[in-house]
Amino acid sequence: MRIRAEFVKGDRARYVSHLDFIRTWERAMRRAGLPVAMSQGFNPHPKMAPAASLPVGQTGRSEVIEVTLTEPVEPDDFARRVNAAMPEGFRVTRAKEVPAEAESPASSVSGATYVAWLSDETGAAGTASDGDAAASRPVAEAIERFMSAREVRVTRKSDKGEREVDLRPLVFELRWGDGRLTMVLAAGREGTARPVDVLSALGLDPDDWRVERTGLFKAAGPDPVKWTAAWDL
Amino acid sequence: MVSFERLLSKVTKPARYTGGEWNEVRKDHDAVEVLFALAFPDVYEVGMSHLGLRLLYHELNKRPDTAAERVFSPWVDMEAAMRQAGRPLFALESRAPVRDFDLVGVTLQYEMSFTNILNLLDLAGIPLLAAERGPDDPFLVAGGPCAFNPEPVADFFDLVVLGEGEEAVHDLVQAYLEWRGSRRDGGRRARRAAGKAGEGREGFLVRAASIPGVYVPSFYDVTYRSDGRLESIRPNRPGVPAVVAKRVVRDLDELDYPTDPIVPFLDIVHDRIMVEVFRGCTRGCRFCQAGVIYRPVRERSPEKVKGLAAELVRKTGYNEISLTSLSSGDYSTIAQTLRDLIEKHGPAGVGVSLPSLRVDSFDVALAEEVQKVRKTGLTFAPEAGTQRLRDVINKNVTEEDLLRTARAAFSSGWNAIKLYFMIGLPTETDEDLLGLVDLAQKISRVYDEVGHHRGPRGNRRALRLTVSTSSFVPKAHTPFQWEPQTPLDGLRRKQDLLRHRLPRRLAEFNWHDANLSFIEGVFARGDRRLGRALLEAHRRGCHFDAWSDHFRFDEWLAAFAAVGLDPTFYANRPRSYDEVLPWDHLSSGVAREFLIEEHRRAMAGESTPDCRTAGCTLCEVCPTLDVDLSLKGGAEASAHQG
Repeated sequence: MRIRAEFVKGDRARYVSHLDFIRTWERAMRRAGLPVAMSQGFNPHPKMAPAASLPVGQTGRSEVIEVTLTEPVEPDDFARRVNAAMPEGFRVTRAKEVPAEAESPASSVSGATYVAWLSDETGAAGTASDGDAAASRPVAEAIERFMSAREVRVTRKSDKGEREVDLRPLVFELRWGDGRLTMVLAAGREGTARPVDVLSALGLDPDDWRVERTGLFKAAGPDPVKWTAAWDL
Repeated sequence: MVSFERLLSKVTKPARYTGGEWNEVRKDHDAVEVLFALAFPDVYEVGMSHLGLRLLYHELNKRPDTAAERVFSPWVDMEAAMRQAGRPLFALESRAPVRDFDLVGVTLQYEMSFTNILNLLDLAGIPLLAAERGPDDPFLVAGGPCAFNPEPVADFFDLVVLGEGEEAVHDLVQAYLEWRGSRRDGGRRARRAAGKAGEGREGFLVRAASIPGVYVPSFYDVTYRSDGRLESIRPNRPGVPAVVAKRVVRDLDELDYPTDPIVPFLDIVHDRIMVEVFRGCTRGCRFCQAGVIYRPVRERSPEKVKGLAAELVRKTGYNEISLTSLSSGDYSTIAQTLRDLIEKHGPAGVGVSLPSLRVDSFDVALAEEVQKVRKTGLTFAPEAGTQRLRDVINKNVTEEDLLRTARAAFSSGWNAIKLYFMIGLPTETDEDLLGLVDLAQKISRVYDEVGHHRGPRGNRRALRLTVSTSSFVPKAHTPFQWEPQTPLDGLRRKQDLLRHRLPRRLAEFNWHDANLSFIEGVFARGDRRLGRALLEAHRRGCHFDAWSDHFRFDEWLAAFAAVGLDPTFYANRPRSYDEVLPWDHLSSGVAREFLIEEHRRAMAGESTPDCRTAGCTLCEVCPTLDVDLSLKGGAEASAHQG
């Protein structure tokens, strides 16, 4: 049986890397006594498919994962049992059974929404979160410049070296208000805009900002309103 | 102050510092009497793999009056960030500064972690020297194997616990509470300042010194002869024992074992369930310190082991159970226990493993059971290349044994074998080293003879033979404690000889850094004066010495020179039986006469059997500590061993 779960990766768990997070799920399943199906092959592994990885340091408000079980389990019961076996910071908010032929979020997700705000401890938070006009103006102006640019070249560092990408087409929407930066970005096989890169491109120091992913979508066209949430696929 | 989160945004693997793992114990500091930090002077992944830390965490945290929290060495990037931000060392659970704790336990696992201990204290803002600590500072408590010769770090510790700590920590906390009184009668700090009766810091040390197994270094005076050797180590006050004997737990079945250990997020070094099947090892390898200091052998019953394993699977979610001990193949009911565990847990996808599959104490049928899922390499530890030298070190394994086991392993489909050897052993000649090459060749020939080397997909597979050599370091409390360590140039020559004589197509050859073994050799049998060299090395930036990227040999040599100590005096000098040794006042329970007799037999090339099978060898540990050899397999066990 295929179960889709929506969960929160909260503050206490935000430094858990993607690989560690998968191991954490695996172990929580075993602690919960949930019978996860194993893949066939030389090196069998549990059939679990997170919709998208979340970078270290970021929280996620409505992340999605799918798990294949060998026996039927009530989705509510599934959520309850996983939550009782999960370390602090992870919490399943809802779960449902999905038909075997349903589209898989792991292969379909192509867009994501984020919100970023100034980290409390930097001392600068007060001005921005109060929506102080003077502090907000530079951010609003940077957004305007960014959105009206034809291209925004950024250098992306990875283990394999550096490479330049054009960030602009991967950014669908940026909004600033109440000290919060809302971002609608490409996230998937067709291209990914990383929130930290967007912050840097806006002239902001990513180390000062907390980032939370608020939604995962199958993007269809440039208008986010028409996207399908990973949960609903 | 720079926030914790901002620090974490700049470092690799921030999950090393956040805590919050499954089964972590977090207590309200206002609701407990005693704060006990348990520090492991290496990174999280290494420290969290250590069973002893988990045992003590469990023992202390089950006390309602005590909060025990973990402390590890921050990796160099985190250390730099903390220093830059002026953020002192903190414990993982509460993120409270370590210097606010009442007691700070530090494990002495390895001589080359000593500089990391000083660095931890420095980062914590705790004075390095015990003598310089004041009323507001915690008490530093050492334990672990190197506590059996803690003299090089004696000046940095307020007290040292010898032997097994599960019972001793309770005595320690009790003594602390009696000395300080309840913190409800005054703040934690205020009480720590004087103790209940205004005894001062020393008052607690006096109380602690009366606990069996507790050694208070400052209560002993060391005098030296003009030639640099020790003259005496004596208590400097009444009521302090002339010799401190280690603590042992009599019956492992009676001992509480943690079944809800922390399950880390990070992929730690030993990331699996650990069920300790026994303590001690009486194989009697003469170079081995663990084989002396953990005596006698005490097994946990197979029923208990299986019960613990089942509960641990349920409570941790791990998919691997490791049966741990110094040599798990020697567990008297190993075969049956493994089969039972595999039968019970295998269907749920939970595997069973032994920490190192030492084939010299193991049969291949069992190895197959264990590794049904994936065949990883087998490990042989012949330690020496010729029978003569194996008799000297009392490694009671013959060439025939090894070749027979190798043949069986190859027939069952194994194609990877690791051979562990030591170089620089007492009486070793080039002939012994070449014997090692010869043994590797014979094993390779056996592989060719067996002749069916097909991988899972029918592909042809070559033999993967690895020869690893470490340099022998004479250790305190062993029959070789009087032996000189082979000087550096000698170790290098031996390594070169093997490099040239061991054909590259035959085996991959690994060797340990001889410089590191030399420094280890200095501290393994060092005395109190070496504390100055440690301080100097610390000042020169030595830390993470066991990590090859960070070991700075030139700084070490400069440190010895700066404090006027000759490292070769400690490492490369033979001792006579009548020399006063820096650890003579600390007892493992094993009689000195036994060690001398074993040393003599070594020089005569005579082996000594294992007391588990061949009767008592008169090491005296059982009568001295009033404890018994305990095999839970009974008669069947002896038959298996034979």
